Amino acid sequence: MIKKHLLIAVLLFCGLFNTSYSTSALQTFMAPLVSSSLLLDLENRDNHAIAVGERGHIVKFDLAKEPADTTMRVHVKQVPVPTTATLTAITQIEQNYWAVGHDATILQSVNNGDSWSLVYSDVALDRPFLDILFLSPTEGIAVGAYGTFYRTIDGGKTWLPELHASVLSKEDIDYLDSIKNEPEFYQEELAYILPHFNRIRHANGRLMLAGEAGLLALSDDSGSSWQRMDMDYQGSFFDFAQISDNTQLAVGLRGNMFARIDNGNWFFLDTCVTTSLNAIISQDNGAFVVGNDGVILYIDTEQLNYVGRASHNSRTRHANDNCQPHIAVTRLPSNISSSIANGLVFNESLSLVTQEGIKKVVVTN
Amino acid sequence: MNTFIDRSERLVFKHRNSLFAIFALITIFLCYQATQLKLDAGFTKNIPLNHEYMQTYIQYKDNFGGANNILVSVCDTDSDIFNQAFFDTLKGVHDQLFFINGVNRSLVVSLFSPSTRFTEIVEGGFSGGPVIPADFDSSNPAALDLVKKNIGKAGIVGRQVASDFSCAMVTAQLLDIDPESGLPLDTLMIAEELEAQLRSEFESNGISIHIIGFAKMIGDVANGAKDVLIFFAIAIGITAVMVFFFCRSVTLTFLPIVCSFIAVIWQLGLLTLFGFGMDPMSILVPFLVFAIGVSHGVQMINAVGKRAAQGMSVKAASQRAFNSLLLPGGIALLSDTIGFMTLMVIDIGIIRELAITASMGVAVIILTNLLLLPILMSYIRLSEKNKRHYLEKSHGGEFWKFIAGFAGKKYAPAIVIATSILFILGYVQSQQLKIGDLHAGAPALHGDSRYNQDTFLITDRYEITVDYISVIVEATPEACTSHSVMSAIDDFQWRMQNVPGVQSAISLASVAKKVNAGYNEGNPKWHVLPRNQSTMVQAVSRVPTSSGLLNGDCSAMPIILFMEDHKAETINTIVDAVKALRDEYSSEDLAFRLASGPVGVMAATNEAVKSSQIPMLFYVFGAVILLCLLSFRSLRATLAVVIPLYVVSILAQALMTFLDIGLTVSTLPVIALGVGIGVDYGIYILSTMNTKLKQGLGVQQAYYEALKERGSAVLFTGITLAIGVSTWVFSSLKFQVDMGILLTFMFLVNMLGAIIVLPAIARLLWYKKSPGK
Repeated sequence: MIKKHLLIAVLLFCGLFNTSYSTSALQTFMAPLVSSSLLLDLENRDNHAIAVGERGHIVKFDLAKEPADTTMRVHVKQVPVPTTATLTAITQIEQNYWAVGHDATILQSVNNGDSWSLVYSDVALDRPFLDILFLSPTEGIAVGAYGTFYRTIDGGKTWLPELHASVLSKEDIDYLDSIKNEPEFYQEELAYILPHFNRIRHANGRLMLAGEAGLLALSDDSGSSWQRMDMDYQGSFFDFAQISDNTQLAVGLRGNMFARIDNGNWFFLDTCVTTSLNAIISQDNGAFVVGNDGVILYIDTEQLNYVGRASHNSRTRHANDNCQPHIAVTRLPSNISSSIANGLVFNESLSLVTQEGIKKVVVTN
Repeated sequence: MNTFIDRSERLVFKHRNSLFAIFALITIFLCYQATQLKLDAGFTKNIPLNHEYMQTYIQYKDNFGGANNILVSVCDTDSDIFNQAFFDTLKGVHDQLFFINGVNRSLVVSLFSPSTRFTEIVEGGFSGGPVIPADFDSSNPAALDLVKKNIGKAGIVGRQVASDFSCAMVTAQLLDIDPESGLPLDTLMIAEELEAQLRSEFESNGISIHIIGFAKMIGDVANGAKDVLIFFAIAIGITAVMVFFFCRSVTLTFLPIVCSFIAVIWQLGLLTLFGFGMDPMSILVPFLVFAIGVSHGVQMINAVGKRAAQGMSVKAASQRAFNSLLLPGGIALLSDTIGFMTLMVIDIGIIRELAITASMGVAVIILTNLLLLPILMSYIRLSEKNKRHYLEKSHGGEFWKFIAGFAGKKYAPAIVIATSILFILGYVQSQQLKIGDLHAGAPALHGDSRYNQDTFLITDRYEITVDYISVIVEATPEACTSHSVMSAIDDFQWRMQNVPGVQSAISLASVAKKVNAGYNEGNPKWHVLPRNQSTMVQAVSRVPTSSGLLNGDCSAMPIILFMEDHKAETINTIVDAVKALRDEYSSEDLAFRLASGPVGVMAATNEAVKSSQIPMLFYVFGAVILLCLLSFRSLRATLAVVIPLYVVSILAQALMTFLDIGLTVSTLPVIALGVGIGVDYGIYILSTMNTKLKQGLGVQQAYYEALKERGSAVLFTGITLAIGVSTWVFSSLKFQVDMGILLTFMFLVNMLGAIIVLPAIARLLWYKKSPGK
């Protein structure tokens, strides 16, 4: 009898030991260099900002504070996170922060990002989430590679996958139709034929989705069905946003930028940039667009509206020394040379998440 | 013992003519040999080959390159590099370096090497090509413009091109074996060729050439070492003048100097005969041998002079001097020899060579100055004036009376207490002694030397440094396709990057992440290690083995840590961090092994130096104690000699901390040399004292007698040796300056120790023998 109890005690102890060991192994390393490590997305409440990035790094910092060093790097405070997966996006809704990343990781924080719990993760899926959006405190959508699309309707307790083949281009749909009578092969192809979903946004009651292979799509029914846009470009789009009441902007690979006004035709804006444009940061009267190699562009919405309707020219390449960017596009000087993943505007300055951490750029228009 | 010495005395002086002839013949032969002596420097001599880290280094040298690199930075002094003259020069330097014999031709890298490529991301994949296209025409501005763009795309700014575009780099690695001759590579020859064929050839108005790397450094050291001849001449001059003031006779000045010079000739000749060369790092040893020779020679002429002054014939005086000095002189020189030989315990080639060179030199002095010198003296005549000089000197007078007071009851306790306090303070301070180089740049050379200036320029304008250490990750074959192995490497690298002193790091894992992001259209969100094995294969397969980041079957992958500097503290922090982390990350199939790269070599050297410090002192003092016990047959006498010696060696270590001198390959031997030479004073004084004590004299009286007989010679040699080595302070080589300061200190303070502390300790040890106790 005593022996049995002892055995149970030992087993319990081992069990406890194992759990604590495995969580500690998955705990993020609190790195002195976290402020210069790759960070990929950020959110703020007033001057309190939270950024996420490589190796499960989540950091908090004060937007009102001046940069800590001459490279305009910002001092940050790392918080403990129960994963080491690279986190790609963060969002907030009411009291909650949500972050997603590789290994299909979803994290939640209920205390302003001071601590995080692992809500969902699926290493075997071998697909990263690339963005997350909450429509209400209970309903949220996480999107990612190869058309990964997960939805929760119970405030993040359960996440269920959805398949949205309606975003496919006409050729892909035709191709899938042609192999429908080989069910195994069809499923195999379906698993990889969907494009990466790079960004999901919410504006004017509609969902906006940007992705691989020229994907830009809209949904009027919270993402149940999608209308794919017909674009004169088959490269990747990394962001798609409503930058003013009547203007939409989409940016992507190799400096490609398209706009449309009042749901009219899309038109190309020459940026004279050949690197990827990663994110759109909207603000009054315009938007910043950030990209790889430290590219920061400013898009003047008023100008765009003024000349935009007239310039319905098709896409032409001008990436040479004599390149003149579109009149609504200005490239801002910056001393950043690494990739900029995203950013936000606070008090006349841009706080950016980059390959080398958080950097600040003063933008007085 | 005495009968043996008496018998040898008779034998030696009976056959003095034939002995003289034999010495002459040997000297002529060895002099010829000495002229054949070559300067000889090699990279592997400087490293502790059996150290754990160096085993790793040797095992992977062929895969990941050695630590014996040459970096040539070609700089435009007026503007940026994008002009015809610059590119023509860069091409010239690249080609010339390629053709220098001994350079590993497959590893010459610059903008012009085909392996320098750029890649850019386009819709549907990568596009890329060589940074400098095959049809490059330097006179065409458009071509220069294209190269400028390609450099940006290739991401080599800061590595192959200076961050401010003022310079471009050509790097190469040296082989160990000369492919033409099959012999070990002649490093000094390479250094000369670099200077003649690169710097002199291509440096011009508007273009400067900066060369760093071990071969260049040792070449500059060798050039600086040639100054030693000047110091040698100065030292001979000073010594000669001082010996003359000591003995007031040209002949007596001439003889010990000639005998000491013969010792040097023998030493150099024997080195050649045994197939050794002279390493620039141990070029000071002949000089030291000369100084030691003179110091023993002065004891000899002193002894002869004094006896001649008392009325003996010069020949009889020489015989007596031979007789009385053979034992103390022999013991002293034997302890020097053994002291130097103990350096053999240190597993670093050049220290072993130094041990051989120095102990051979000192052993030779036994023959030249204890045997040849009295023979030569026996042939000469001394003037009456000269004898009078000795007569006056041996009275000694008030000065020696005063000094003898140190053995009196008034001073002895105070001296012992003061010494104890000094010892304690010195001991505490000596604990601060740092191992390794304490300054940036090449420690053997001065900060303002061309080599160090070049080093500072390169570290300033580029983001790379030559200060890197590689941790070799060993796993099973094809391990680079395994996510768990690669992420362990990646984590390890990240943890190390967070250690203070690490500037940046690179490994196959960090490159694979970049490539993976590249395959995903350069999207930073894909800057991860793919879990999917075929995707990992795709990422890794873009990294060639020539990158030095993986071996053929990727079972070994280095993590290269670039460091802020190579100061000992920085190295320690990093090595300790690696050791802590490897315990955490190692598994059955995964080992993290220290270390390769130049700083890996330094870390091994520092550890070898540190671990030999205590054994070395142990053996040196062991040898000294044993020889003292044997010759004096008295524990008290041995203690009286050894205690001051130990105190001084501790004080020398304390001095090193004050002067910011680290314990390195070049300063480690100084303590052994200092102890070996320092013991001479004590032995000479105590051998007379011991005899007098045995005859029943009190300590103070015995000490006074010893001072009258040997005191002036001891005082004289201490000062002469110190002045001689103090001239090294003006050397163009930093390590000679350090050695000069330390040896000056050791010689002077050991002499003071023998004169002040030794009698005071003797007084306490022979307490019962002291009258008026």
